[in-house]
Amino acid sequence: MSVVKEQDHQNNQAGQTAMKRLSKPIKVWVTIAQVLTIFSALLAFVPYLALVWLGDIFLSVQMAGEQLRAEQVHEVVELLIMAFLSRLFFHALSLIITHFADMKLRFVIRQQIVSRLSRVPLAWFSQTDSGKIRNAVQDDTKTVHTVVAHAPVDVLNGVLSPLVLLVFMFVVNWRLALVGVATIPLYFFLQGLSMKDMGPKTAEMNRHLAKVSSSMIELVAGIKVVKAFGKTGEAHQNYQEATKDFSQAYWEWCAPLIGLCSVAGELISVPLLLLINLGGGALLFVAGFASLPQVLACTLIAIVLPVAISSVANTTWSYQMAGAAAVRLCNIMDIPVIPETNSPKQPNGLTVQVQNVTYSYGDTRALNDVTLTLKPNTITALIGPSGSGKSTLATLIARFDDPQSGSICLGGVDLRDISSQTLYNNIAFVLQDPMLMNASIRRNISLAKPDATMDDVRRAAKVAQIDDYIMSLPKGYDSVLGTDCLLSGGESQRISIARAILADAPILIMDEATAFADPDSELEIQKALSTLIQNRTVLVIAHRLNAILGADQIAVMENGNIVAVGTHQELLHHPHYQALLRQGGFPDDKEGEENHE
Amino acid sequence: MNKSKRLLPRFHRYMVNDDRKMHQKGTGLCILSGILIGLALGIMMPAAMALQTMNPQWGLSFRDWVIVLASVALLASVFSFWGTKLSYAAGLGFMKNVQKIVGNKVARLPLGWFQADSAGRLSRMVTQEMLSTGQTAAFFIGQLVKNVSAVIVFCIAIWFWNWQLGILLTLAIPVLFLLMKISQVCVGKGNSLEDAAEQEIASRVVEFYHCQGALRACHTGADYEELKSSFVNSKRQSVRGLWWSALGQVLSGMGVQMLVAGMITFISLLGVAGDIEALETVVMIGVTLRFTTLLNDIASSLFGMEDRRQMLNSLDEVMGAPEMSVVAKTKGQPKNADITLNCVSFSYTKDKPVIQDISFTVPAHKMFAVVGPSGCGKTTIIKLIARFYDVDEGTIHIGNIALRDYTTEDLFRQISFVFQDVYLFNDSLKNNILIAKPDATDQELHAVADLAGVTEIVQRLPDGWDTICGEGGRSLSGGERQRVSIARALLKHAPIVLLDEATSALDAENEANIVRSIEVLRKNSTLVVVAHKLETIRMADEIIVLDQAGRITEAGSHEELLKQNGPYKEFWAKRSASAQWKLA
Repeated sequence: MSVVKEQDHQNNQAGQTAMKRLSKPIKVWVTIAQVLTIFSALLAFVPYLALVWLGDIFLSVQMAGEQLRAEQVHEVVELLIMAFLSRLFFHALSLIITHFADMKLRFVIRQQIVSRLSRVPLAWFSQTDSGKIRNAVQDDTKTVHTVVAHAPVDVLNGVLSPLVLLVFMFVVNWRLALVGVATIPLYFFLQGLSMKDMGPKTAEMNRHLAKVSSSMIELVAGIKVVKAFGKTGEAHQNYQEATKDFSQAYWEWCAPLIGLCSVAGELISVPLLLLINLGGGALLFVAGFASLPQVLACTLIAIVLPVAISSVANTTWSYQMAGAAAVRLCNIMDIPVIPETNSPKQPNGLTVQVQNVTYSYGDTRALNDVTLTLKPNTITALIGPSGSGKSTLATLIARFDDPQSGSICLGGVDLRDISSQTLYNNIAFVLQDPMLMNASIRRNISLAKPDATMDDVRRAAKVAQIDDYIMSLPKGYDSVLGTDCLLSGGESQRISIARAILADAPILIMDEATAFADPDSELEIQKALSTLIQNRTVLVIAHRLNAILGADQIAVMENGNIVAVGTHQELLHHPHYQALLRQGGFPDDKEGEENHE
Repeated sequence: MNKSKRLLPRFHRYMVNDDRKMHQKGTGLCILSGILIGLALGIMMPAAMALQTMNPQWGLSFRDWVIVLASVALLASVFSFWGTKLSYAAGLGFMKNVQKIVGNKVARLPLGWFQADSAGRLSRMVTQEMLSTGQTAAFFIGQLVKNVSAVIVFCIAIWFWNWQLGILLTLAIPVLFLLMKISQVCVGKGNSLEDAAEQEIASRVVEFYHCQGALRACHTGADYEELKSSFVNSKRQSVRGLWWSALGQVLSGMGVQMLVAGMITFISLLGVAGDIEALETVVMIGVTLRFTTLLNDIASSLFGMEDRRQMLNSLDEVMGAPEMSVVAKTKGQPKNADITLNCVSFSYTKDKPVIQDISFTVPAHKMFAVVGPSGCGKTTIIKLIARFYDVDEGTIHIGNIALRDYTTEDLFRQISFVFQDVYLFNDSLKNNILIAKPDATDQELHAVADLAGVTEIVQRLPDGWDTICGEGGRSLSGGERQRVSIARALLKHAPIVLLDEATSALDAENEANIVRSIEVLRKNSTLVVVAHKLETIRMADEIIVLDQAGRITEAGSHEELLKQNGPYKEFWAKRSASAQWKLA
C-alpha cells in the first residue's frame, strides 16, 4: 500500500468537520431516526427467540409424545411475525424521517448559500464562474445531503443490529455463540486492514479526480484553441496523464484490497458459515451442550450477522467521499459579506462624494486615493484606458463592495450607514449586460417596483422604445423571456432601460457602451438612453469621447487614479486628455466622423 | 432481470477485450457460487433432520451431509473468490477504459459538436459518474447474479422438501418481481418529478449569478422570488417524489413481508397439522427469514443498476456522436491561400437553413468582410471555413483542395482564427500566446504583443507576463482576452485568418489595437472578417452583404456598394448616424 500524504489527511479531516457542521439543522430529526433505529435493532433478536421457543415446543411435544397445543404454536408464530413486521416498520419509519430530513437539509443549505451570496461583494461573482455556483447548489448539496442524513442512522443500525443478535446468541448458548462468531475476528481484521487510511486515501482519490476533471474541462472548453494551434496531442496528453495518475493511484490502493476483501468476503459466506455452525453445533449437540433449536437459531443468526456488518463499510466510504463536497459548500458559506448597518441613517440630499477611496482586487490595486463629487442633476463621465478603474469606481458607488480606505457618501452619509433599501431607492444602473430574467416582461420591468400598475410599466416601456414590440407579441407583457420569445441584444437593452425608468432612482450609473451593444438597433437604444438620463444625476463609464463631450464634468482615469477633472474645454490642454483625444482620432477630424465607431 | 440484461451488454461494450472476458468469467463464477449458496441453504434441511434423527436422510448420514456441505462451501468460496476478484479487476479496467475512450473521442469529435455544457458534462462523465458505474460493474452485477441464482436454486430445493411450500414460493416469486418492477417504476417516477425541478433550479441559479447586480439594485437579492420558489418547488416535488418512491418501497417491502409472514404461518400450520416434522418446521421458518435478506439484496442491486442507466445513456451518446471523415494524408499541396465557397448551404437543425447558396472566392492576401443583420449566419460562414461543421451542400476549397481532403493538422496549419468567445488556458499570459509558436523569440513575442495591445496589459498587471489567466482566462476582461487571441493569431502567421469581431462595443483604445493588427494580418494572410465596426468594414477589399435568410444580397467594395443604393447603403447610413450619437 502506498504512503499516505499529510495533505490527504488534512483534506479528510476538513471534510469530516464540514460534514458535521452541515448536519446541524437536521440534528433533531437524525436523532429521532436514530432512536427508531435503536428500537428496530433491539427487535432484531425476537424472531430468533420465537424460533427457539417454537423448536422447544415442537420437540418437547415430540419427546413426550403429547398432543400439540395449536394455540401455543400460533401465539409464538404471531409474536414472530409481529416482531418481524414491527422491526421493518420502525426501520421504514426511520428511513422516511431521514429522507425528509435530508430534503430539509438540502433546502436549508441551498437557502443559506443563496442568502450568503446575495450579500458577498459583487466582485466575487466576477472571479467565480456560474458553473461553480451551480455545482455547489446542485451537485454538492446532492452529494452531501443524503450522506449527512443517512450515514449516522445506517451506521448505528449496522453496528447495533449485529450487536443485539450477538448478545442474544450468547444469552441463548455461549458455546454456540463462540462457534457462530468464529470467523468474525479474522473478518474484522482483514476488513480493518482494507479500511486502514481509507479517509486520507479517499481524499487522495478526490484530488486525482479533481485533476482529471480540470484537464477534461480544459480539453473540452479550449478545444478550438487546442485544435487551431495543433495542440490536440498535448492537451489530450495532459488529460491522459491525469487519468493515468488516477488509475494508477486507484489501482495501487485497490489491487491489494481486492484480494483482501474477497478473502474477507469468503469468511462470512453462507456455505462456510453453515458448515461451521452446523458442524460445530452438531458436536455441541451430541456432547449435550446445546439443544437442536438452539443450534438452528444460532446457525441462522450466524448467516445474517455479516450482512449487517458489511453495510457499515460502504456507508463509511460514501461518507468520506462526500467530504470534499461538504468542504466546498462550507467555503461558500464562509465568504466574507458586505456588512449591513444596524442603525441606518437617512441621506441628506443627493450629492455623491467619493473621498480618498482606495480599493484592490486581491493584490491588484484598482483605485488609488480617488476623490470625486457628483452634484445633483449633473452628468459626470469617466474616461480612460481599459483597466484604469472606471468600472470599479462606478460599482463602488452602487456599493457592490466597500472601499478598503476612504469613504463614499450619499447626501453626507457614508454608504456603510445607509440601508440597502434606501441606497437602491436612490441609485439605479444600466450596464452592458442587460441582466434579464427568465420571467414575464412585466416582471422584468417592474423588478424594483413589484406593485407598479400596468400603466406605469407600459409608460416606462414606451419611453424605452420597446412598447410597440412587446405589444406585437402574442402574449404581450406576459410573454416569458426565453420561453415565449427570444430577444435580440438591442431589445434586451431596452427592457433593461425600461426597468431603470420605472425604478426612477435619482442617481443613475451607466455604461455608455450600452448604446452600441447591438449594431442592429443602436438608434432605438440611443433614443431610450437619452430620455432616461434627463433630470438625473448620471455617472457614465465612457468609451467614446464624442458621446460625452458635453458632460458637466469629465474625470480622466489612469492606473486607478483620477488624473484630471473638468469640462471638455477645461481639459483640452491636459496631456492625458489630449492622448485620449488622439486615440479617438480627434486632432485630424474635429467632427468625429465614423472613425470613432 | 430484464433491465440488467439490457444493461449488461452496454457495460461490456465499454470494456477492452481482456476485461470483458474477465468480467464474463467473473460473472459466470458468481453465478456458480450463487448456485452453491442456494444449494447450501437447501442442504440445511436434510442435514438438520439427519442430525436430529441420527438416521440417514435421502441416503446420507449427518456426517455425509457435512462432507457435502464442506465441499459445497469450498467450491463456493473458490468460485466466489475468483469471481469477485475478476469482476473487480474488470471493473477497474472499465473505469480506466471509459476515461481513455472518452478522452480519445473528445479529441476526434468535430468542433461543432461542442456546446456550452459539454465541458461540465464530460468532466462529470470521467470522474464521479465513471466511478459509480465502475463500482456497479465491479460489484453490483456479480452480487445480483449471485443472489438471483441462489434464489432460483433455493426455490427448486424447497420443492424437494415440501411441494406445498414449493408451489407457494414458485407462485409468489413472479408476483414479487412484478411488485419490484412496479416499485421501480414508482421510484423512477419520483426521480423524474425531481429532475424537472432540479433543471429549473440550475437555470435559476445561473440567472441569479448573472443578474446579481440588477437583483441587488432592485433590492431582491436573497428574496429573489423566482429562485426562492424554485427551491420551494424542488422541495415540494422531492416530497412528492419521496411519496412515490415510498409507495414503491412499501409495495415491494409489503410484498416481501406478506410473502414471509404467509410462508411462516403456512409452515407452522403444516407443522401443527403434522404434515411436516417438528424440526423441519423450525428450520423452514428460520431459512425463510434468511430468504428475505436475499430478496432485499436483489431489489437493491436492481435499483443500484437502474441508477446507472443515465450515465450509460450519455456515454452511448458521446461515443456514438458522428465524427467527421478525415483523410490520412492531405491530398496534394495547397497552391495558394485562396478560399472558395461554391453554392454552400448549411443548417444546424433540419429545415431551418442558416445560410443558403453562398458562393464567393477570397483571393490570397485579400481582406473580405461579411456583414448583415444578427442571426444571418455570418459567424457560421467562418466556422464552416474552419470546418467546425461539414457543409450540407456545395463545397469549400482552400488553395484548390477541398476541406475534406485536408488532415486536421494540415488544415489548421493553414488557418488561424479569432473568435468572440476567447478561451485562455489557466497558465501564464506568456504561455497563452506562445501556444501559437512555442519556439518564438522574445523579440517576436514582444512585437506581436505591442501590436495587439497586450504589452499594455502586461505593464499594468503586477505579475506581468507571468500573470496566471485563470480558468478560461477569467482574470482578464473580454476585451483583453480578445487582444491575447489576436496576438496568438499574429504570432502563428497562418496563411488564412478568420476573425469574428466582438459585437459588444470596444473602447477607442481596443479598437485602435484591432485596426492596427488587421493592417498587419492582411499583409501576410487572406483575411475573412465578420465585421461590426464601421472602420473594419471599410478596410475590406470586398464586402459580402447577407440578408436575414442567409443569402448574399450584395457584394463589392465599400464605394461600389454605396453607389448601388441597396441594403448596404441603408445599413451604412443607419450605422453612421448612430455612431454620431451624443449622450451629453
